[in-house]
Amino acid sequence: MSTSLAATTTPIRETSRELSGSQILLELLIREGVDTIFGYPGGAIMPVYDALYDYHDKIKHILVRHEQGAAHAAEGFARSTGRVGVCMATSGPGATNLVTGIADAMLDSVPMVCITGQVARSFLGTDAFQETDIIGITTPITKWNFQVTNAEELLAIIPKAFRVAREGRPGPVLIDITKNAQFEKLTVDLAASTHDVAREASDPIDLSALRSAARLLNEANRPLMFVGQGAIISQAHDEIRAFTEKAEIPVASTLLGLSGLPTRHPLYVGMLGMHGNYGPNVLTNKADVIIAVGMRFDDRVTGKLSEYARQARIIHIDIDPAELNKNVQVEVGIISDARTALRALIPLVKQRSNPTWHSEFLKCYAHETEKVIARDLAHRDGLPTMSKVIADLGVVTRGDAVIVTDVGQHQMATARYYPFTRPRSLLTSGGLGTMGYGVPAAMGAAVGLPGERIVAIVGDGGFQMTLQELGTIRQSDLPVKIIILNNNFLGMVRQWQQLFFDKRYSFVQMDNPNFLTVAAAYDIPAARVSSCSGVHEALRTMWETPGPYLLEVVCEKEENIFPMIPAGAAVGDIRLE
Amino acid sequence: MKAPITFLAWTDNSPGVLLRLTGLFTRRKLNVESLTVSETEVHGVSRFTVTVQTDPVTAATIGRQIERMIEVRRVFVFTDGEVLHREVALVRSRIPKDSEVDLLRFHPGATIVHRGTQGTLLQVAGTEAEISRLIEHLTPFGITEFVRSGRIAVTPAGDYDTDLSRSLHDLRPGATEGPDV
Repeated sequence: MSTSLAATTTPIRETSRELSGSQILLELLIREGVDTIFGYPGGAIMPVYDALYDYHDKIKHILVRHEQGAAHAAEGFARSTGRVGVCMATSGPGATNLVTGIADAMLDSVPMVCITGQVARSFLGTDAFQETDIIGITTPITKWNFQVTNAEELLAIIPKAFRVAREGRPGPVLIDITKNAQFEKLTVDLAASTHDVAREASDPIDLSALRSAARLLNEANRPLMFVGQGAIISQAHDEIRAFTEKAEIPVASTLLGLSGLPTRHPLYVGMLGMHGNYGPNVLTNKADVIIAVGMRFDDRVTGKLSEYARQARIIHIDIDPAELNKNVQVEVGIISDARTALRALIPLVKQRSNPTWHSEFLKCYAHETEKVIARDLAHRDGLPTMSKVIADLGVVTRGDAVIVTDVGQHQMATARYYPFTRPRSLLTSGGLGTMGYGVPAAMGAAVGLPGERIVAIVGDGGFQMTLQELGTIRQSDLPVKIIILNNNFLGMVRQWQQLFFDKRYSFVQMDNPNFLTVAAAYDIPAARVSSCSGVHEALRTMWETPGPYLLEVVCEKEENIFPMIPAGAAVGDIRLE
Repeated sequence: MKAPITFLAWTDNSPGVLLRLTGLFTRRKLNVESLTVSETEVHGVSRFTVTVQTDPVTAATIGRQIERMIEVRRVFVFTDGEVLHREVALVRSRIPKDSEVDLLRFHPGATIVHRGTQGTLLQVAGTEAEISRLIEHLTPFGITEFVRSGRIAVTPAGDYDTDLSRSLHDLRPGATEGPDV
């Protein structure tokens, strides 16, 4: 497993002292390496906030404007740094407001620990003020959750929460702490008394499976590699590069695998799935061997399963055994993190060259360029396309930014046209498709990566779901650049209504506020551009302005994102127009 | 394609496990036909026996999803032919006294545990089929009350290869580097 995900606990020598449950919680968080909490106070978490008052030099608390923002910020922090993100909220509405972010983290395997306050143990089950059964509510959307009802339990539960969140396939953990446990005093020697069952060495990787995989790859004529979020989580970027360069296997990426291999690497052939590139989608159905690394054959990637890669012999590497054979039947399954498996596989694959197969991807790309890309990126009089804005952003930033998106057309345009140069440089809500993710996740990245330039690309719809976090950005002075690609539409839904619902535009038009006035109200510098020719300069000004910035780009209203695999269609039925 | 599948799972005995485990069935709209949770020979470890009607591929996936629960120590997925399974039923019936001897002869698993104004209470342990046969036998006399437990099951040989002293989660890959090959 990657070192950044490994425990950062350092032994601290100390003697017994009397601490409250709240103090124990904070001490344990510090021992887990936590220096940042995104949160919002309230009645049932007040003892912890009171203790936090004395810990401000050790733990930075970012006061969000809505708990959903705290959850997404913790996700952005985790995904940009590889560390566990921590968010905190009170009971009842505070806790339920975290739910969307927790579900998002569950589907995208983001390591996160959520701390929620709860009514005192004696009130549990009595419909007390701000009581909700948050354990029941979050059970299906957490990797693990637990309700702490006395201070002593914290000693075992908090270390376990971090271990569970970060190890294996990462995910969100929720720890609900009753108010009496936060108050309760305990005489404790923290160094001596925290006990989390240490793991044994992992099962060794299955050598015969590795050899079978190598044999398949060495005999393949049309091999194809897929990389997903697991490759990013395990920091397998060097191994991906070494593997593909040795065996000369074209690499396609899922949405969440983007940035695992630089976009402009010669063996990178594009994105898979519904709005992915033409070549990797159609050639999925021509490959003879597919090696899928840290991805889960999501339905947005596979399209119609019964017509997906029927001809291919599939090798699937994933750390989660439950992913193997879940959607696609595989010939060789390897249960391992991506980096370990690729490291083991590199010596076993032959150095090869396969220009004929690679040229098929180049032909497909030329076809896609002619039909889609040239039109998307053409300079035009009037309003720019989203695609053009993203391509210009790539030029201005030279791929040297952490890009965060919201969900919708702008997200797909970003995935297609931004030149990613280094790992963890795209944060996007993949599995859950959470509108409202972009701005708060960018906040989390800005806190986690001080000195980095963070650009949130959002639509006018998603921006308005969490725009109150501009207040957090201002108060905490987070240097987040926000680009609103504004077409006054919920663009992706509008596109579907146009293509599949006879252009019956049902509740997708947005009458928006003046975004510049909104930014001004939050004292955030802002500009608007509404001509294709002005985009580059506007982006440059944004890029060079220190601190937060909001750029509204008024975009062509009815741009469609192509290619597109219609829902339920096969990858081979991808449409270019 | 669909057949009764029995899941045997050993878990930590802690609150919340039942909800999380059964949720893996209900989210697929699979009806849990039988569910038994009990203590085991190991302190702090519970044993789940869950029976649902499903196909083998879905069953295998759900088995692996149960397996990745933090509280789960072991899980096995069996078809009916692979396990010995039993239920217990309590049946109150208006069976006349002179028919009891016959009944007990035909149903060796049945015993009479109470006689009262509401009828005669019988207890029977056996397979679902054996219990159903007893019910059929009693139906003509009139059944006033009937309750039946969930299924419990074991493999005939008890060969589970289980070390219940450790959480399965602690044995999974991921914490350390793999071998150099």
